[in-house]
Amino acid sequence: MSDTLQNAFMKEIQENEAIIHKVIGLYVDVEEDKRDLYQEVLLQAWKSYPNFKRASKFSTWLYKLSLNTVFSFTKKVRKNTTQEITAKNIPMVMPTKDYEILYWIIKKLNKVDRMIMSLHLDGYKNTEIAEILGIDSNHLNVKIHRIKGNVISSFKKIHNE
Amino acid sequence: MNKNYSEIDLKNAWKDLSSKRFENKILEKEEIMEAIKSKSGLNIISLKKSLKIKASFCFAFVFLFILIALLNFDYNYKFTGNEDSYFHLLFAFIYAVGSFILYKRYKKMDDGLYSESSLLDNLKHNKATIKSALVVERIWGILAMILLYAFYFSRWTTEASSPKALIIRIGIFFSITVVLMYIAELMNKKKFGSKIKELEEDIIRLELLE
Repeated sequence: MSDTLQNAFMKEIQENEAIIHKVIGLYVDVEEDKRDLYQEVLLQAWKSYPNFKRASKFSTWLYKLSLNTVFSFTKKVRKNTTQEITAKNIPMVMPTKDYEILYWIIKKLNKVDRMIMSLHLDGYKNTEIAEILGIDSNHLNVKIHRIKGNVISSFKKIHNE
Repeated sequence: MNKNYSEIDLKNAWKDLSSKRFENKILEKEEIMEAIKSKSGLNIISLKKSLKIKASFCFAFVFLFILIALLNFDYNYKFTGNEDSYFHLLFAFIYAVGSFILYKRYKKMDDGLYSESSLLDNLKHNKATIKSALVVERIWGILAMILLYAFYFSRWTTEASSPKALIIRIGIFFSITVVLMYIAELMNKKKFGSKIKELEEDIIRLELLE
């Protein structure tokens, strides 16, 4: 990678680093795995960056890459010690703050719904969400509406308990 | 307490969540570097061990060639009649030089990553050393082959009963050489390839982290 390209990469990564943390934080709970994954996403981004054709925004590209890396990582190590965040291993202590409740609810969703919801809440358009997740955008509106409905009703339920 | 939740509430909660959980550095770079350090340290130890085995094999060949030379040496003659022995001694000498260089590279490598200098410099130093050791091995291998060809070709041209027999001999010799070089490359790839690649990737990771 040339120096100019390397500088551009570093700048864009620094600006969008939160995406990597977000994707990892939503799918992995073990600190050691988080560290490994963070390195892995950076490495994969570094390797793929020269081929990034700018057909989409850098953040969209990084989201997609982070997601693919995290999914293949969790698939690879699922049989070993790593625990993916699922409803089963979320602590049963009920959170009290709104953002903690939201985190708790989102983590209870299946892995695709979890990412749809987080991308939607991050303000991504449906076409971008479809591109990142590699799914058909036709039914995305309905899907988002359904997931949001479930999240809101869970929110209400927890607050009213 | 009943509360009406709308998308705005969700978005606010998400904003808080993002800033509290995801935008703060959830991963300490020091810890990541520590993880890279321990993994790379093990890789370096393993590469060093493999290099030691390689150098030991080379030294074993040196002794083997010397032994063959001494066993074949006819003390009734000085040079003429003892060409094979002198050739084996020359071969042993070339192998000894190659082995010595490999051994020097082995000694140059670190026993893990504990020294005072920076982790990145350490990784680069060890990667360069192991790569240069493999280049040395390749160069010395080619040198040995050239010597071997020169010696046997000169002999075969005088010994061969017909041009066809000479061509067959050379063909067999070439084929064996190609197969041996392929096996050597394959073994190097198996023993060193993946670990060197991991070292290179760790160097990129560290550069990105720094």
